[in-house]
Amino acid sequence: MTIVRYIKNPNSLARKIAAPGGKKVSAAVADAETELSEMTPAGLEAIDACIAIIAASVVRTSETPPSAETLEAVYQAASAVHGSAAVFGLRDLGEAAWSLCELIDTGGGALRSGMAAISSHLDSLRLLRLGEALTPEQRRELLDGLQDLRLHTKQEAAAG
Amino acid sequence: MDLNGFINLDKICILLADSSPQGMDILSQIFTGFGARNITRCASIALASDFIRSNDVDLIVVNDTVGTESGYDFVHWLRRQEGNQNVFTPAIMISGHTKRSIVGKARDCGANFLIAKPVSPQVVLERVIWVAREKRPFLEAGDYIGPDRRHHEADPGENKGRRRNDQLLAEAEAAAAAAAEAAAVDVSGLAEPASDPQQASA
Repeated sequence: MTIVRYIKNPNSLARKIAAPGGKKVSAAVADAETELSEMTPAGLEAIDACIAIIAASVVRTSETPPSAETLEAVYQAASAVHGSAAVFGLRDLGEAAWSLCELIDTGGGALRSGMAAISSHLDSLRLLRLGEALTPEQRRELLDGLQDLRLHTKQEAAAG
Repeated sequence: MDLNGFINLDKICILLADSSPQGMDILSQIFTGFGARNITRCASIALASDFIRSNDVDLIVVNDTVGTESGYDFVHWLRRQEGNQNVFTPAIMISGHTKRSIVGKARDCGANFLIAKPVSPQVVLERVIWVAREKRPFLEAGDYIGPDRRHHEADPGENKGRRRNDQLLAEAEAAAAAAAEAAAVDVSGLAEPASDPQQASA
């Protein structure tokens, strides 16, 4: 039987956040959005650097099975893109990056036999980085294609 | 969230832990926009742990990975620092893609809330306000130390009245409904990452 012990916890955040002063919630959100928009050029540069890391990994391992370290490096770079792309107006790029993370997490042995699925994701990342240059339909089509690829790779991995 | 309400983050001491400079900048700018002035940025778990030991912190926001270390392990460690002034400090986890191997950690680390990336100012502020207003007691049950995962108040995750043993059903439901709720996943209802959080928040 699990013994449960309840502990009454002080919460200084509650007291301080309700103190007189501060700003309106709507103004706080607007000010934060302004702060983020000022980061956009640097943010996009960082995203490009992450895509370059993925590209370098694909080129380096095009003829040999990728190592766990390579896959982790690609995962980390894709994760960084996923975390920031939507913040800078590139939501679809973020989705594609999430797809790449998911592919690596679930692809298992099927991925180690080659980088083709990752390479396809890289192509999509590069296209989606163009943002509004693609129509919403084109962007959706790319993302749907990545989803199919991911599911196929997952099934391959499950089949061993 | 009442957009006409007021919040005051002037005097709040916030600890941000993230090894990614860009992730840190995003969080930092968001809280600066909210009016926070006392923000400590820690790029490693070691720095965050040192800060926790010697400062009163009102809010901790930690990324799921900090360098090669786990933000979940940091919160798990924090909740076991009996006698430390910050042992009950509200902790919000920021999670990117969640690997299947760490879903359990995310649920059981003792954080108050988990926000799925990409973060937005509105979602972050909603969670901060919710964490400030919630009245969940902490509990120690088996290996778990943290906020009671059974919610008594309406919350953004809408996962009321469930304890750990009821979570299997909750998780199955959550997986099916992930598209609607994964933008900010309540730690107590964390399900297998069955769909893209970004799609969910769209």
